[in-house]
Amino acid sequence: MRTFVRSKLFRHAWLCGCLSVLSLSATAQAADTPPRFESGPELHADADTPADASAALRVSIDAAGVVTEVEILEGVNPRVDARILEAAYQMHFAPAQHDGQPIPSRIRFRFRLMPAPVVEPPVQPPVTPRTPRTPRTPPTRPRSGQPDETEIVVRGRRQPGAATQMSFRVEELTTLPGTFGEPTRIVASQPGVARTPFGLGYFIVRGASFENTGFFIDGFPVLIMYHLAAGPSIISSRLVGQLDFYPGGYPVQFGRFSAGVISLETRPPPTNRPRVEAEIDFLRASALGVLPFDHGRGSVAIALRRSYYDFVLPVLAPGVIVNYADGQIRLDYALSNRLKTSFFLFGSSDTFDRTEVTGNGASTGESRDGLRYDFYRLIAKLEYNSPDGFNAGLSSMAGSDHTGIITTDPGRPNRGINLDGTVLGQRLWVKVPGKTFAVHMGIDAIGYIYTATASLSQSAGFSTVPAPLANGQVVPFTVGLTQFGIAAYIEATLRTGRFEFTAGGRAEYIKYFDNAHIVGDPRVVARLKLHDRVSVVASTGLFHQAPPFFSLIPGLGNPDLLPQRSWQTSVSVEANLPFNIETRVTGFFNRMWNLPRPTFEYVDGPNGPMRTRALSDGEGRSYGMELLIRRKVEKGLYGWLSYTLSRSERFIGNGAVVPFTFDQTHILNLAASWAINDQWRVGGRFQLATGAPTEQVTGAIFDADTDSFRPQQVPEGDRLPTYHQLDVRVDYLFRLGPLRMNAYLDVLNVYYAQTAEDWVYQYNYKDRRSRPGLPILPTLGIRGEL
Amino acid sequence: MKHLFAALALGALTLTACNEKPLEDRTQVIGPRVLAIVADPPEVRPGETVRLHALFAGFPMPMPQAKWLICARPEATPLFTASSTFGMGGSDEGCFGDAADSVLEFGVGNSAEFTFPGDALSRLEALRAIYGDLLSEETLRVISNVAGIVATIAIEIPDPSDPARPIRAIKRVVLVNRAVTNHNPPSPRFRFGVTREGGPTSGVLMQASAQSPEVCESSPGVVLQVATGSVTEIAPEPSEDTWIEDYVILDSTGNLAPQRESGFYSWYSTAGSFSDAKTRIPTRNNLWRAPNEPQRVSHWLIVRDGRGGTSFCKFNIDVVAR
Repeated sequence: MRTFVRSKLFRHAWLCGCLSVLSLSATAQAADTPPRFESGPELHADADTPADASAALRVSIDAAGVVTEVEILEGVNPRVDARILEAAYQMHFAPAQHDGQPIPSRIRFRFRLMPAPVVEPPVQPPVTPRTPRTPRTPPTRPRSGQPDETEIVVRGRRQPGAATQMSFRVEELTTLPGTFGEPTRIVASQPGVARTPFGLGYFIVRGASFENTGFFIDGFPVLIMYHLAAGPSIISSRLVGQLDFYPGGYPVQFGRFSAGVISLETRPPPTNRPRVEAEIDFLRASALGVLPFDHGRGSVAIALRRSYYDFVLPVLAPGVIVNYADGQIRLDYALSNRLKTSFFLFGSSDTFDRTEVTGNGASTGESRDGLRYDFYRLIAKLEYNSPDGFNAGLSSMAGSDHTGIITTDPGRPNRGINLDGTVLGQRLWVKVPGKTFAVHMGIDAIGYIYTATASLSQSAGFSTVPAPLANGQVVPFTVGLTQFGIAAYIEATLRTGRFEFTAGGRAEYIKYFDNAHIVGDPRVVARLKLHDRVSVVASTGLFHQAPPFFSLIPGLGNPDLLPQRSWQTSVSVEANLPFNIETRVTGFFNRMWNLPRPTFEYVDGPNGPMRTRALSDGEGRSYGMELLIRRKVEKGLYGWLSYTLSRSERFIGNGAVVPFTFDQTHILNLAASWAINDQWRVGGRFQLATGAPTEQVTGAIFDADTDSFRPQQVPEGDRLPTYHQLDVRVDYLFRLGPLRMNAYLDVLNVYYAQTAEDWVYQYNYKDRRSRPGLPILPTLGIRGEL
Repeated sequence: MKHLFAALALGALTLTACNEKPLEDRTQVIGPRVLAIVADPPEVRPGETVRLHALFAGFPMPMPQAKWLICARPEATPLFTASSTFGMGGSDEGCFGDAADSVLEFGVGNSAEFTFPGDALSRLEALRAIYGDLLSEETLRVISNVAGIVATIAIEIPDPSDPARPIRAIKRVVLVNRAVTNHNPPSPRFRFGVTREGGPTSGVLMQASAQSPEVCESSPGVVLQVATGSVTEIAPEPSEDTWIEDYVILDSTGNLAPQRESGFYSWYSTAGSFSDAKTRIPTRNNLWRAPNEPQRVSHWLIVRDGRGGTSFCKFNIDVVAR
């Protein structure tokens, strides 16, 4: 019992509902995903009942999420038990799933009463004691699509026959040290993910460049998923329903990225009652309001968040300004038990500005580098779900993107480039379930109508003498940049006994500038269950991606670049061990072609030789092994070890191979957290990674024309020092009147490992110092919910 | 709670500050260095001679002898740097790393002269063997007669403080077959303010001495004085309009494009510090903070036109106790 209470307290730290799941343990051993509580009535304790009274139930749920049987294992008293029984039959769940198919399940469920109101207790409808019945007629209350309040799923591959799956409970997602309680940040601790310097909101997945891993929200791509400076997701965690992380071999409904995909599916907030939530800590403040209407069939949710790095950071790192903000408005309405619609408007803004002092002495000049990401999306969605798992939907997206970089120096015009424009998207899909044969097919389209406005330094001419400072002359230009893609995909899954085979394909028409390409991405996944606890999964497939926008801009890149291409192959062995421990070992090999390669080479032009900035002849490969050993949450204790041994290489011509810029041979993550009692939880996370490759400087030559030193170096001939960092977190739960409070201290880099994110060289390259990463970064926060 | 935040912030700041490891200030000459190389003229025609002069600083006496080098291989760098512009790379490292038999040593000491072969530009044809149609006859004509090509000259001198790593420097000379060539900027001329405290002053005019164009002074034999720790403004003059030149380049699109020179000012001293290592219009004035100990400080001001033209002068300042 103590364990149940402890689990519940953390799992629902932000929740003040009267219902709580204590232990979601689907009785069907084969369930991949346990059932998730979606909606149900509230019950208040009466004057004779303890304020924290609760009953333990065993609940049977059918494949449609309807409660069919309720058994009281541990009651309060006969009178209250009768009311609980009545209410429990009105609950609704998202059904448990096995291999992507809904299945019946039975769970233990803790039904907690709300405290009796002090003044004028609400009138509860009389409840007639009733006996359990099976089966039960589905409740008249509509399935409003209310979300699970207990679990967000982070998983590897969730398509039928896909390689791996990982799911984390909120208890893990919100208490992992070093993430500031941000659920989506857990991806950075997964196998196959290399760390990026300074907590940038990008991921290096299986040795691919950061732009090759896509971020999707509700099926549509977005510029970034995470705010800068180790910030949270751009979507309030209360609106996050599911996070899918595909380190490779992602399913066919996704495309346009040649490495991995991080997909976030949003959900409506709990609508059993209006709620307000606020959180404030050292770095940011956020608020969420939810207003249900039409008896819970619909709801409106508004969430806002803003960081105040701009107040704090200048004290710790003078000259650096990082700031972010995001907001979401979501409207959900259940048109019927099976037909739901939603409108989701969200926006995000990130700013990074670094001003560096130039010169020495009494008076100084300043150089500045600035970066901004602003974007907005409106997604309208209509989705049909039948009890047998059939699913079809239509969603449309309209949005705008605003990206820019700027560089300034004393005495020179500002240089920079801005990409502003409109994004339009459309998706249509159908999923036909089946025990032995299932099909998923659809069409999706995306269009970018951008305008690039740039002010660039005038290029040096052919065979000219360089100047001591960069060319003071700036060439402004504006160019339209339109990219369009429409794709059709289909995936079929065949299951026979212990074997499951999924084959799919995606064909896409891509057009940018005057270049049109038709690309085909076949993908195959096979799964063989060797034992009830052991499976082997193998996958292979092709993936394409249009060139990044910046590299297509004439003058800055090359509009004639080809789509990037990769071939991804992996084999995994998964095992569920005793003591609630799961393991997964994966070997992977990725081959990459048509990578944009920055260059200053001359190519044949209409007027003779002309300089180009990018060519499509880059190639590379990555290969390695990933290991995950994880103990799922049990008795308040969870933890995992993820380790990646990999190598990512790029071919630079003439048979030469160099490590990729962010290649990290060893990446180790150790995380553990323990709920000491009902109020206190402590945890730690340790990260260790091989330093990224850097140039090896062997000497320097003074350039008398530029008045600077030119390093003589071996590209990628050296590495930064090994990176290591320990983060710790302490949570304390308490009540403050009607508020449920959670105070926490999250400390990054607690023993102050002096990491090197880069080298800063002396003017003559005879000495260097490291550009340090994060210092000790403590965050004291408090979260309260009414 | 407020105190806790303050303590945490202060602790983090302290630890961050402890991590800083200062690197040498590039404006301070505290060891042997090459500060500039002047090519006179900075552009030459085939068959003409270029006179080269290096500005050394910080070397102990007697000074080691410098070697002047140029690559002898016609198809490679640095004589035909155009090839590197086509992607071969490495030209800006001079001949360093090339085989000994492909490097021509043409002088020793602070100065040297080199006469380019009369048929130097005609050897551009060698590039056509490499790039084929990429270099048309017309393009080669434009390169030869308008834009020119860059020849890179290198200098190597032993470093008394680090015998294993000699000091190396490069200087480009434009080889072009046209009548009007580039000129070096005139010797520096500037006003040396007294102190900035209490408002700027007109300053003392300093210019090349009659005896040596490489030494700037206010009056013959006079050394200006400033107080320890004081900040002085140094203002180059006259207007650059008197010497700035226009020229034409073959730009990155393959077309001819007009360009205009700009003045770039580099600042060095044996003690104290400048606010900026390099300046240009509109902020070409610089501030110099005197050291806190009385001493004689040598300064160097180097002026470049951004296309190979260079001039410089040295001047001394006595730093005295307040």
